[in-house]
Amino acid sequence: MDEEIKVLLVDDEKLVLRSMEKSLLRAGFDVESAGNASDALALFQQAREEGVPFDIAILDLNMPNLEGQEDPNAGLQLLSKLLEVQPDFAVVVLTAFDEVERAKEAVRRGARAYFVKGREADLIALVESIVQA
Amino acid sequence: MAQSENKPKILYIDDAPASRRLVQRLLFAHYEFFEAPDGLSGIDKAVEVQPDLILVDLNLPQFTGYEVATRLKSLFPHVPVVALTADMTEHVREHALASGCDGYIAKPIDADTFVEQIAHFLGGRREILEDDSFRDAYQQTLVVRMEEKVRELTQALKSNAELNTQRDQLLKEVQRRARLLEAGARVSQTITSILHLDTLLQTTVQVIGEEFGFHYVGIFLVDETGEWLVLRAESGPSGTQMAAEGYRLKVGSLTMVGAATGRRQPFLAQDMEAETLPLLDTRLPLTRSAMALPLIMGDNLVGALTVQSIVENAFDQDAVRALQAVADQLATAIGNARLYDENQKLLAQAERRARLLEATAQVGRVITSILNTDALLKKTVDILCNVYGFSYAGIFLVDATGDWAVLRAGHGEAGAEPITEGHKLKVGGLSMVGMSIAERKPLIASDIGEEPLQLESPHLSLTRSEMALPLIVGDKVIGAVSVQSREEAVFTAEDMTTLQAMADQLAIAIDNARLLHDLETTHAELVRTKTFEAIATATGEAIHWVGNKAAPIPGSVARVREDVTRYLLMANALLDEAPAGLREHKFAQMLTLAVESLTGLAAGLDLSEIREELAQQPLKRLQRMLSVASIFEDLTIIEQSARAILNIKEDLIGPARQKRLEPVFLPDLLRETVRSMGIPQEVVRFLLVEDVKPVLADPDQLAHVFINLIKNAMEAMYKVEDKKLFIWVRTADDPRFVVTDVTDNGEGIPPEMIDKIWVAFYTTKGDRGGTGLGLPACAKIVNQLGGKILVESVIGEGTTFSVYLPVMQA
Repeated sequence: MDEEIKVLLVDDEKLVLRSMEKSLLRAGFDVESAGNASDALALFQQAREEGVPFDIAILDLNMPNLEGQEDPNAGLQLLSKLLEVQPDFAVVVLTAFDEVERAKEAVRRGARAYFVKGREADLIALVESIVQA
Repeated sequence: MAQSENKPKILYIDDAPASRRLVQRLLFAHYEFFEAPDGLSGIDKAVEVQPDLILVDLNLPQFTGYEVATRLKSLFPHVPVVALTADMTEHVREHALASGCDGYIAKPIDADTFVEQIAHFLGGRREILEDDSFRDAYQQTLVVRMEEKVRELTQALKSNAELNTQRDQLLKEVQRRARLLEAGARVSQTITSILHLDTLLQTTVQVIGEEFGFHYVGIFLVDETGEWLVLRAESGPSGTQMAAEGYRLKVGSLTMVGAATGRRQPFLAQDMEAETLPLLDTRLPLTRSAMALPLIMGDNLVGALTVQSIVENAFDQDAVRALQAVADQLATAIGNARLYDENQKLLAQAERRARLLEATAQVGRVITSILNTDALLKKTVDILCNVYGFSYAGIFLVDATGDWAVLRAGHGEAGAEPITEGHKLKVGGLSMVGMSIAERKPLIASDIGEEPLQLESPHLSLTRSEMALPLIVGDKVIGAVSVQSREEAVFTAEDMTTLQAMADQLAIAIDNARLLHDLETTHAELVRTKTFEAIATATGEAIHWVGNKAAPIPGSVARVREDVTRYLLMANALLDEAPAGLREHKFAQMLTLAVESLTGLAAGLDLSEIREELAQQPLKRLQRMLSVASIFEDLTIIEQSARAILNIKEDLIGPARQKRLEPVFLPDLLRETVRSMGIPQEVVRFLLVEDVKPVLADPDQLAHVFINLIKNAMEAMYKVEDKKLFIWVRTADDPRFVVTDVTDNGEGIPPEMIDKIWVAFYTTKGDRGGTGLGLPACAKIVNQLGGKILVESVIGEGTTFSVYLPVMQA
């Protein structure tokens, strides 16, 4: 890997976010993280403007949406926004083990995959398989 | 005047002014002249002036000149009296001399000789009457004149007496008229103040009788048909009892009253013997004159007033007028009294209706809240008896066979309940209830004693009226209500309507209660299912929440394990290349042992591969891969996740923990709580009423409540720059409580969510921190202390939680 893979990580649960961030960092990814949808969108657009766009985004579904309100579909909203700007953008959605149905809905809307939070080693493998494809 | 005193005085009596002027002109130069127009004033004048000579015209009114001369001669025997006359009849001169005159001068007067003639008489000339027969004749004439005058006087006296009588009569008339008017006024005054009709009529006949002195007074009123006049009140010394006997007359019939009402004019009978109409009842044989006056109000004939007198022609125009005024007043008073009576009736009716409606409304209120049939029926009959005052109320329900109505609830006066519950009446049988159910309509029996049917029903022996009301739901009659009263004919059609409305409501309530009973079994089942569902939901929420909190732990653990392994392997690689002496060092021996133990502990890790990988990485890369700081951070992540999960335990079991109740002074507790939470001073504003009474609570538990509320408030303000937390402790409006407000100026809670905040595991904060258990736990703790928590919130302005806690009892 000559160039590091650039990952946008979004989750409003601080500990979860940090834990995943650490796992991705030590796996060799270049990670930038955000705690809500609007911060994430800002990072995404800034990276594009600077000519160093993200290779992949990892989004939680349930977090504050673009209007700052708590929203179980904030992840879906952000997903649509990102794909609108960059239709081929690779997005993985994060979900709790009991919210798989909504994650599947995200995949139907264009996400590359969904990932049930917990086994971070598997997440790294999933991200690697997507960016290398 | 000296001149006049010296002149002789001459008095001239004549009724002709022209003669007096002529004589005056002839004499005034030589004599003092006096005159008078008639005999009487002439005599008076003579007495006054004492003349020296008197001239008398013989042809005078009243007193003749002869008589005047006679009188003057008797008064002044020495004064010459001379007659002047135009009378040319025979022997005038002799007649004059006979009456006492001293001389005679014929008219018209001869101006040339007159003064001289007068001088002669003054000088003593006297003419002598030779023939005495003229004197006798004059005597006779005087006697005749005297007799005439006596007659005239007698006549005058007589006519004087007549005039006196006439005057007295007029006076009496005036007095009588005044008395009539006064009597009329008194009657009016009396009757206008009486509002009760019978009292009015009775008083009126008495007052009219007394005031006008009539022998009989009667008042008739027109009945409802408008055809008959019914004698309603009478009075008078006759002592008749016609009113009590219900005496009546036809309007327009051949009676005085009939005629007066038929013509709408007063009818007067002044002399009974002469009247052709069979005017009055033979029971009043003394009546000699009578009057009947129609009583008319507006255009309506109200009745008639009859007054009778034992005096003939008792009714003159004044009496008629006075009585007409009384009759008019009376008609108005009757109208008023009827209106008043009508109002009283309407008022009583309205009151009764209001009571019925009240009873109906009460039944309505009660039956919507009672869903147990027996309680419902019992309460209904109680209300019917207590509010409306029925002597008995019972509710019968048709049994399963449809043939019998069974008494399910009854209420009667204490100790008088006639039958036991379970008493049965045949549907369609000879009972009010049975018939009412069969005919599907309300029935009234007004006088039980007179009902032709042998009514088999729960009558008290004293019941006189009964009403039965069917209970109808849809097309089904489910029973009947029986209400009974001790009064006869107490129920009206209107009562029936009102009470039927109540019965309809009751029928629906009974049906509802029955339906509910059927539903109750199903409902119990439903409640159980719902409970499980709720538990399942709560559990699901809890698992989801715990899952989220636990999510980072495995990752952190894996990293720590890997990092420790890497450090040990790095240490081990160093030792492999170290001089032998260093390997004997106790630290080296510890590290060697540690790596050896790794082989067993780090299952799944290929130690040699890891060591190879580490060896190949440049230092910069190694620094990114591995750090003690990262290990400590992961341990912190694990610790915080674990703590979050432990906190939920406090929320769940906190309210159930054993309590240590003691007096808690809320201002102190709040100050301490806020201090311990490290809330910045510029954010908090306290308003603590220091003399509030203490509450009895577990201080730790109560602190937990306020920590929760304050934490919520701070989180609600996470986006607000100028955060304001306001804490207000005071005595509540209800002084048995102390209230603590925790107010923030945060985002507010949307109205659709405000009820859900008390539901366990519901959180508006997503994964930002809430367990969804904080507020439910607070509410539970406060409830256990006998208090309550209220919330008020406005979007964009903030939220206030008010905690009410009961003041500790002394």
